Amino acid sequence: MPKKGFLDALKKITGIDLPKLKNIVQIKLVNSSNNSFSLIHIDNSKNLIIPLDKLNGDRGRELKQLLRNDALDAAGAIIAENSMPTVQTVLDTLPSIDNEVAKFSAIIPSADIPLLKSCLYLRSRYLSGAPVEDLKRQIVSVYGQRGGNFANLVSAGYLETWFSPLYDGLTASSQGDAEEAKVKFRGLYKTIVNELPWTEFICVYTSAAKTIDHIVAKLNRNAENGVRYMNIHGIGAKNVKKLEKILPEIETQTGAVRVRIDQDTTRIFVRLELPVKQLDSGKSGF
Amino acid sequence: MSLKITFDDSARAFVLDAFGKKISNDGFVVEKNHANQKVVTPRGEEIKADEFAGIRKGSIVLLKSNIVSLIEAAEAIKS
Repeated sequence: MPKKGFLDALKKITGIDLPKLKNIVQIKLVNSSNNSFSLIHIDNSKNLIIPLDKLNGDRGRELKQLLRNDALDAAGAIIAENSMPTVQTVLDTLPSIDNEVAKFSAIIPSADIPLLKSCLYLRSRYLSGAPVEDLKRQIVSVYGQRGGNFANLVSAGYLETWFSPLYDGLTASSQGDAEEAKVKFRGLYKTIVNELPWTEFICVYTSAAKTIDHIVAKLNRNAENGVRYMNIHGIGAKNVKKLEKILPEIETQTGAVRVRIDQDTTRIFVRLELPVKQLDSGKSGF
Repeated sequence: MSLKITFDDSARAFVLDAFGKKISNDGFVVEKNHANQKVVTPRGEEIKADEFAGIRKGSIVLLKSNIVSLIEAAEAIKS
């Protein structure tokens, strides 16, 4: 429940008695011309509706002062009505991703923590069957291609299968020097997220020919660095079909062979490996 | 249950004005007294009027209608 001072100010502005104001769970700021509400009132005993155009000058100023001085302490945020459903879904989802957020926030760069949370939220929505294309577009709009890369990596489970074992291994080899392990980890993390050196995510907007060229170039570059494999993911029915179609050509051009395929109608994972004879001796990769 | 405060499109200018902001002639959120100074998110994103998703506590942080900002909003509500 909001503090008494906040409710007292609200009573003065709205003219509604404190006992009724104590039970409100939402304050909606509207204009009566855009709504059916013409009077300040409480809807269903819990929603305080304030048509702003019905406030005279003094009360309007007092409400602005209340918003500025006390509202953020009382509510944490003032949210656009059309964003509230997303905020509510996030509120419902946060508990399910809290553990992973805490674990990986401790080792990734602090500037990437909001990205981590966004990608874990996207994964949670994806696993629940919700459409996530727009979420991914929003992440890319904020963080660029590396945001899209990280979203793909998180959705494909690489936090748990790559990043976590990588950090654990570095911690073990640093003989307990956590700071040294973190520095080494962040160097590799940066490369992995920026460049996706050992992974490819099929993009529905990229042509088959360009996708083949890109994967072949990446495989050849990896081979020069002693890395024998590439993991390729296709998420969505169109990407599954695209990858099925281009795989033979990639294998022909590189000599790589598929050593593992996990597939259903909506997602596909293929691990390609280059025969050992194609590698320079004395080099090793992950 | 914690208190929620929301506003619809028609109340956007009122909310911005309460925090010393306004919409510029070219449609961005700017400082009320410095119309050439665009307000940005913590990641430096400019905010168009129709992308303004609200304000959260923490030195008055404006929100943009993308998932990164809205997660911050949810955490501010939860805290």
